[in-house]
Amino acid sequence: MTARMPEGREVALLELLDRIVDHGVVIAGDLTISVADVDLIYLGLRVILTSVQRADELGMGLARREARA
Amino acid sequence: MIRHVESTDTSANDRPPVAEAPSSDGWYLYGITRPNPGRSVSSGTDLADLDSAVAQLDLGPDDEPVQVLARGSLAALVRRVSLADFSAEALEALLGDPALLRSAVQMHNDVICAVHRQWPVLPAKFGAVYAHLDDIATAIDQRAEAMLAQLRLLGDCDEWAVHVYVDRRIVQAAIQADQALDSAQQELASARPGRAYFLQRKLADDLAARTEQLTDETSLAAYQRLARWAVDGVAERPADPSVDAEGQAEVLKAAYLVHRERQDDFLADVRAGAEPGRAWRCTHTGPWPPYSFASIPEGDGR
Repeated sequence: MTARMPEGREVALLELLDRIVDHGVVIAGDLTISVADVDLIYLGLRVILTSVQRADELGMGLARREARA
Repeated sequence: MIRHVESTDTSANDRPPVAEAPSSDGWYLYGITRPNPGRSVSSGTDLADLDSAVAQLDLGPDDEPVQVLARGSLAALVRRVSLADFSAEALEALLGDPALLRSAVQMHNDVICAVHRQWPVLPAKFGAVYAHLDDIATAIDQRAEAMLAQLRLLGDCDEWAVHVYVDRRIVQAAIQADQALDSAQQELASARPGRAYFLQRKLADDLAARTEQLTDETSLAAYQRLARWAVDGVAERPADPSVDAEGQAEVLKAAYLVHRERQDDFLADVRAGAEPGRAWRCTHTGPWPPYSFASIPEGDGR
């Protein structure tokens, strides 16, 4: 599975996930978010997308499924 | 279609407030940028280039536009989303559907890339959704100085992802040429069976340790060689090493922040790693927005 690079080349989804998941800034820290809904939403994401390792596992699963297809 | 959007708190920019999203909607934050260095974003004209940069993006079937939330000299790229799409159940479904997941991360990347081509950008964490624009506006106001300082550091820089592979055949050859190993093998050849057993085990342990040490040294040398051209760099051992076309296992996963003026030198060195006879080789992707280098120091302006 591939995705587009900025200049149009394609890269593996895993590489894209590697860059994006668990990187980037959080402009309001978890404890300073005043709206409970936001806290819960973000907590939900963090539980599921906790690390690149998680993404690695997912990527392997996708690769295996694609190989069987 | 691009629209400017404003929080109900207009203290940072003198424009009238607009209606917030319905309570069932939230705001997805893609990132923070600085459209015009050194002055406030006070009019639509100031944001025209930024608007056009994201105007060409394919944002999927719901056609909800990316909008610009201007705060002082900073601007946030936001998009109205349904909060139902970010429930635990929806997120589980997203992760279980390769097409949906690809679409989500691709859209996140596309928006940030569109900005990154022309302006420094602080990418927000994937999936950062806020219930109200005021939450985003307040956070920007409180940490504006830290964000501006970080954007100055990231200006005119790209992230490059590098995967380093060590050629184990060359590593093994170097170990075989080691005189200490040679004498150990001679001792083993002349030893009695009982002692030979223990010498064999010790030799195997020594070989494994030496291989790991030389692999580490080689991967560190590769990292440092490329780091000469970089503003910053990070590296880690891959938890699940991939294997390149030559059958070599990945030993290092690195990201470099490289100023565009040094990009040619950096890439020349990356490509030199693929020359025959080197103990290491590498593959790379980029340029990426500075995902691995975007951070705001804790405790600044909070």
